[in-house]
Amino acid sequence: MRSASIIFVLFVFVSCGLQTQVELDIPAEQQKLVANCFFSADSVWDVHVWKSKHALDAKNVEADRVPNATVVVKDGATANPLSYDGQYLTFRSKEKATTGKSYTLTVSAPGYETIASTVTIPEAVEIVEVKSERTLFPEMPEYYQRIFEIRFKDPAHRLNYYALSIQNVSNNSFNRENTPMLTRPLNPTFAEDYYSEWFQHYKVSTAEYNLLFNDRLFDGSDYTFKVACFEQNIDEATPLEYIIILKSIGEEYYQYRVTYNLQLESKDDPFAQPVQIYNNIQNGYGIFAGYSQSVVKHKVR
Amino acid sequence: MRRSIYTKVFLILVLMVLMAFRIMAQDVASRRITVPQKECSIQTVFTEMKGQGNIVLSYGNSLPLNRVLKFETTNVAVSTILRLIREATGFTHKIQGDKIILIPPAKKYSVSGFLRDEASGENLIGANIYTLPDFRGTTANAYGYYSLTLLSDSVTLSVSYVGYQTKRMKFFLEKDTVLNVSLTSEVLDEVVVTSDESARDITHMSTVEMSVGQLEALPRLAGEVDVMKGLQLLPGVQGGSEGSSGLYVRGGSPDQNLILLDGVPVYNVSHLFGFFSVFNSDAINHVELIKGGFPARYGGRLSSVVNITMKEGNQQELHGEGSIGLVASRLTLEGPIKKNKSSFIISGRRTFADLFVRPILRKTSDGKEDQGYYFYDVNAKFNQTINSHNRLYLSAYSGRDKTRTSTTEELFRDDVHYRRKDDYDLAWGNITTALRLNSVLTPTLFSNITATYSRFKMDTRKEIDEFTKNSKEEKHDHFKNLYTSEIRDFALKADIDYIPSLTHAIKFGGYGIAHEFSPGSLTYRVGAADTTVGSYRINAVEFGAYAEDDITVSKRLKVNLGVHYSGFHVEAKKYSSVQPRLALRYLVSDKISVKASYAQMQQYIHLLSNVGVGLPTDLWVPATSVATPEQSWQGAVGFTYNPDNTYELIVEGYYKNMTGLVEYKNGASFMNLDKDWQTKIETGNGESYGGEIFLKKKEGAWTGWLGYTLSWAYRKFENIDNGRRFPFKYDRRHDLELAVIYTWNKRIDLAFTWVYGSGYPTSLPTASYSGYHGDDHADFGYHYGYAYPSRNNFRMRAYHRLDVTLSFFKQKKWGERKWIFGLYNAYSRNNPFYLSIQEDPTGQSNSKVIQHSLFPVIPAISYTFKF
Repeated sequence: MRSASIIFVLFVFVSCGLQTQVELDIPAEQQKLVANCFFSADSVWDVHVWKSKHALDAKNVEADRVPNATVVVKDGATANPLSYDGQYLTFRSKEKATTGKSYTLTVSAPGYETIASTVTIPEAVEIVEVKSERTLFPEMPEYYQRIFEIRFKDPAHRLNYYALSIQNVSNNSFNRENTPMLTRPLNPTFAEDYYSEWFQHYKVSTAEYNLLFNDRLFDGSDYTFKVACFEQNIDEATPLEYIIILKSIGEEYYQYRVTYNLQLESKDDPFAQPVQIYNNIQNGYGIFAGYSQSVVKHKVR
Repeated sequence: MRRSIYTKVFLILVLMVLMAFRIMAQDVASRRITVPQKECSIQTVFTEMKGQGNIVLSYGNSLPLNRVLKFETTNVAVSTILRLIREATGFTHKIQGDKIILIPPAKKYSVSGFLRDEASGENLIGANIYTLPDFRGTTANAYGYYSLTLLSDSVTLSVSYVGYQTKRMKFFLEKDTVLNVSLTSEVLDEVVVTSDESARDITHMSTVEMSVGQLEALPRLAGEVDVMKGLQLLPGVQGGSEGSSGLYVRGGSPDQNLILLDGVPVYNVSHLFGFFSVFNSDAINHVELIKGGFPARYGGRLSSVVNITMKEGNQQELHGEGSIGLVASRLTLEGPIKKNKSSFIISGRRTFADLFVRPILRKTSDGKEDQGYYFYDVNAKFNQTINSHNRLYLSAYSGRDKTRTSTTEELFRDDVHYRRKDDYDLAWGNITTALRLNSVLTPTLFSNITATYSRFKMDTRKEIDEFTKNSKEEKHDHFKNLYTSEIRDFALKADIDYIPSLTHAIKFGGYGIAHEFSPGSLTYRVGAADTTVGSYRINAVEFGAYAEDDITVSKRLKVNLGVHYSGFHVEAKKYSSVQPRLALRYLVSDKISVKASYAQMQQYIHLLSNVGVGLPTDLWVPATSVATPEQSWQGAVGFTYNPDNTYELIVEGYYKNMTGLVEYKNGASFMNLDKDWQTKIETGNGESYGGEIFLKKKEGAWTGWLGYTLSWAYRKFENIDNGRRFPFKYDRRHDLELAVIYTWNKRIDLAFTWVYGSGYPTSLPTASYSGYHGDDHADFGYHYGYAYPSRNNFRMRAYHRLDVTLSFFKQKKWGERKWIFGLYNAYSRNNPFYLSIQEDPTGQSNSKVIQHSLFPVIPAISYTFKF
């Protein structure tokens, strides 16, 4: 038995993977402009503009910004030029977008091809009711979790996409104030593949800060979405309040986020085919997408 | 002296008489007869011959007197008349003076029977039987049966099979004769490379047969003999990623291989996540790979047929063999139930690491952790000779892999007692069974009726059991998550061999398959309520018929003509296809033949694979209106050169076109269960072309082969890479295999294989850019995304590897034992398994491309025995 164990261990040992650094000549492609903007009817335009770089170049965000770009958002015939805000490092406007309208973004800069994208802000879907209860956290029984039941009426006969996040109003060791909390859907079919590795160190296999889902399983119904998140073991006298945000997003943002996360998730997977990040920027890279949201404050005590 | 004169006179007189007869005979043949018209019956002509020529005619009743003869003129020579009679009726003639005797044609009779091994009674599939001295003959079919139709005459037959002593038989054929022939195995000091007749002679091309002895002699990974890895050493076949048991034949995908175990399709051929195949060589009699020019009897897959025939069990005496290796151990028993009437074989294999690792884990974790992995497979076969015309077979295979992890956590805090148990299982396996009836209906008609069942099932189970108890309450929660995927086939088929003459070998038959697909469903239970999501069960019916004729047009030209019809009904959708098949062989000389083939194929099932290495999570799904049937056509040309019995050279070129291929969309996987699988796939086309060289040395102390393939393989999907053509994942431009088996002496064998392949394509990005994290992430950080200009835009480094095996045999009183020592990747080449980009976490330095390799040198040792 003992010698057999040794042979087995030896077998496993010699079968361990090896790795070699190799020099590969990856040709550089022409640099392109990158525009990222996720806007709503309630906020001003906020467009981040970068340039792309060689795949193996050092990743330095600040060096890639293009502050001398010309950024314009068109609403039909009206063109709104955006100016660069050195404090927030984005191109901003004073105007706000309107739900249901189409907007076209164009970005140009010397030495780069002009990029463009057009989108429409989806209609908001209102949260009807929120209920919650506290239970022991299954994977970490020394902590608690709060189960939220969020009810809303899904518009029928069209494919709707949502992004759900929960914020804790109070500041504590798990959550900073007014920032999204790690949440996980109780129905595992709403968990995306890319959730697992990201939060392994929390021992939470299916959590995300912003749950993206669509209505294929409940099209047109009065649906109650159940999610759970950490809750600090605080005494019963401390006030406790959460903010529930249900964003109605377009397919372009859903695809962008899913493919973006999948690429991050799969880049070390030897068998996975490469995931191309969804891109709705003509001649460039990035995302230009709008959303509407329904926000509900949920006071526990 | 006087006596001498008389003798001379007598001899002169005899000579004169004989000459006179000869002159008269010549005279009869050269006489001219005037017939009434240019087209006359034999009866009319005979009347004229008797009247005008004063010729006496002698013939039997079988001569068709009303048969019409056609003349060029009305005045014809008797010799012309006799020639026309011979052509019209087959009657030959003999002239005696003025008398012409018409002799009926010789009758034809059949010689048929089984060709088997003398010692074990195993069928000798593909053994040759032919007449001497003209070498006209045939080969035994998959059940060892042959049939020859010959003229009634003195016949000399020769039966041969590589590795066996040739047997010759001489007899006078005067009736239909059953001749079962048993050949005696030669006491070989060497391994023979092929068991088939010369590739020069057979009509079909792109077909390779491997003997089990040859497979067992080849080096192996971790000491395990592997049929699929043996086939990977042939030209035109890629093995996919390092260590995998996959087959990528002429640019095809693994689901395009029809892998038959005793005629039953096996859907997943992988043990241990693809590192070993499910076929236990101890139970195998014969392996055949067809890469193109498919005979009409095969259908249902685009790229290859792997035909694996199990042994039938020794008819004479009880035998056994087994082995103990690093990965698995095997034991096989075979023998007669009733001598020469019925026999059995049963063979089992199992890994054993879990048997001692699990107790150690349990002990060291106080029972809180339990992990293990095992695989096993069992092959069994029984056959019963009912009578001289009928034989019944029952064969079965069952194999399973299972990995299990279990952890238990327990917590006592204040008044709370908390306990949680997590169990995770992943299991997959095949079951196949076949009930077969072989019947010799007539000496020239052989039938094979088969009923089969095949099932592949994969399931994963995650179960969480929670118990919480405090001073106020006691709570018990249970969560169960079960994911299953399954395909089941029930099939009935009939195959008939009809051999009416030496110039025709006809095969025809039909089949029906009831498929049951369950391509992935998830059942989860929270508390007491079950919820099932995912795809539903789909029933489908596949059916077909085929006919083919192997025609000997002339001594040089052979043609195999065939057609395969198939149909598929699924969810009110109906598909059908008529697939022509053609193969030609032309003997340029005694040593060289040129060949050509064309085959159309249609496939009604798809395999959805995330990684393409044959993982159990791959889903088998039927053709639907979204994923229509896969179709292909393949044309091939080539030549074979056999300078002698030792060497053989085969050179072939091919082109294959495929449509209806399926692939997951970017980022989709089998676990996104809110969507039906049909919404997660892309459909597209593929093409591949190339050339293959296969040089074999079949006999002698040194045997083996050298294979080289130059090939291209592409895929094209509308929504992948903007509809541009991209290289297939396992497109390899150059591929070379050298396999050498050296029989040192009766006690030592040395074998090595060396493989070289130019790099597989892989995808690497050419640009990176800052991605938008928006408000999704608590730290609002930025991550870089990568842009890929096209799929599989780079080539990895070349792959090469040397494997060596040294075997030591020894005869013991009880039988034979063998120690096998081997090295896989003997010079420990760091072969590319995959490439990744390693980023500098500080963002200050450039990223690097890292090559990951899987196996360095791996030693292996195993002990085998036979009794």
